[in-house]
Amino acid sequence: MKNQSFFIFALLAFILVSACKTSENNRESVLDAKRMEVEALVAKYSSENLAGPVNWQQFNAALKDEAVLEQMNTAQLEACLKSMTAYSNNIILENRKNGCDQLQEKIKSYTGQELKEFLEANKDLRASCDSLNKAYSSGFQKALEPCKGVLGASVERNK
Amino acid sequence: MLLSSALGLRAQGSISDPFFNHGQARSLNSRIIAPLQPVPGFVNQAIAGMRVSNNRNLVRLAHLKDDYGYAVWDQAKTFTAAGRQTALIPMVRPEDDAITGILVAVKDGATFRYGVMDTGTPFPYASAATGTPGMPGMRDVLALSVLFNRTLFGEVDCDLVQALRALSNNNVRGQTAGSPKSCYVQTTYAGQNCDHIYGTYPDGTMQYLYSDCYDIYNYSFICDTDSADNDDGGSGGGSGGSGGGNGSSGPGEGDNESFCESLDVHKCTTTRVLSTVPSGIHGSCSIVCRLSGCGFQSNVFLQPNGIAGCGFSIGTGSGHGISISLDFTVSIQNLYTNSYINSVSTLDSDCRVSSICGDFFCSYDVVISWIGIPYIWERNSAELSNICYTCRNCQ
Repeated sequence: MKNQSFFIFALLAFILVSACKTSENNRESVLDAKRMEVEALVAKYSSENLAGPVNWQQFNAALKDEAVLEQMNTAQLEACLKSMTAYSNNIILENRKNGCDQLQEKIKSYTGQELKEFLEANKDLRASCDSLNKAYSSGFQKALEPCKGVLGASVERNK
Repeated sequence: MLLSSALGLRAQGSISDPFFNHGQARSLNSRIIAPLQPVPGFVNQAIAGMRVSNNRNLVRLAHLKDDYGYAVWDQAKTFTAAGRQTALIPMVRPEDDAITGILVAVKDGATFRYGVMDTGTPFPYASAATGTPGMPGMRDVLALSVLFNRTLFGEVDCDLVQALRALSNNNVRGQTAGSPKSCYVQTTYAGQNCDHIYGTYPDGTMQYLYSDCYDIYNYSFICDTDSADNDDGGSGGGSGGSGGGNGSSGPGEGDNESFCESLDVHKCTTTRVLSTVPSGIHGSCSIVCRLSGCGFQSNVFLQPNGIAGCGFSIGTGSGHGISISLDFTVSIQNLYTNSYINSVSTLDSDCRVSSICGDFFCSYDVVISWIGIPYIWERNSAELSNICYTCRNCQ
């Protein structure tokens, strides 16, 4: 009788451990799949991002916490990546289109008094570049809006 | 005195006057020791603006010349104040060895406004009230007068320095009076110099007629506080004797040292906010430029306003309940800076205090990184003209 009870108890324990392992494996595979999905999204938008490549080390560090990955809303993430990439690219492209990048390059070739004279001679272009950049930077909060939902019902806070 | 209110009718000038030729105008005063420099582009515009030929301008020019002499165009200081380009040009008479005033040219839209400021009437702007940001205050006028005199003639006007020191150090553009200081020239007899005058007879021979002898003095620039431990006890009296009188016993060396130590020049630096970026809903972050040292070194960095940092995060929950979050970090990238010294003027040789002035320009991107992805947040440039601070032992 004693042996029989022990056998039943061991069987139950085995079933429980197996179930947990299966659940853990399932969770891991779900998270792996999600990680791959997130990576694919980030890689996709990174290829369009004119501000520079992704730092994958930082990416991995940010997503190290499984809770973050678990909580992450990929549809919202894509909206965030799209919005922020568009915002950042717009600034870069408009600067290129309006000659502001070329102006900056020329500025870097002058020093001292020469620079002063160059700035004076190009003050109109500088003023239009300044106002262009000011106009764009005021739209940052709007571009950030979709990112606030990436972790579900998120809030923004200062660091 | 406002040039714009000049009503004199002595129209002796003409628009082709040597007043507008910077080389000719300078050559009228042989005492100027500052090397001739190229005239800044903006000053050339200001000259062109004054040359516009009409009767009113001719009257003004005549009045200006009568009252203040000629402009030393190449020594002008240019900067942007309250969004307006401004040039400050020292005025001298041909026979004097000190400036008479400072010609001010402000570009207001497409037109120039001109005025003259001197230590009697330091606010020349008809269109801008005193206290408007960027407008020169009494301290600026005094400081500029001292600096121009030093640059042009190698002289420090102690009366001006005394007046300058009577204003608060901490309120550069304000009118707040600080604790009064005394400051004067101590003269020491250095010997006699004689010019021997000869006459020439009709037959060509020379004959000694007389000697024109005069005493030579060395001048020391002495400053002292009005503190109670003064040697001459009390009010500090001795105001600016401008040379001449010998035998004036100045304050002891110890007093001068303590005065030097009391000068707030140890920082040898100045900081300016170039722009402010909101770093989330609860705070903002400034991009700050620090200029420092005898070499006018520049440093541009992010500075949080208040207790909030420059970065921000999005996370679940709120307040202390935040369980998970993703950070946005802010950084300055593609930074380009250009800074150079315009002038180093010795304000007080005894204390070895110099005013270092220069120009600064920078451009930069404010970049935010989120889960390793960089985004341009803002692209900006900033220009600072004629930024000054004081240092010890720079020369």
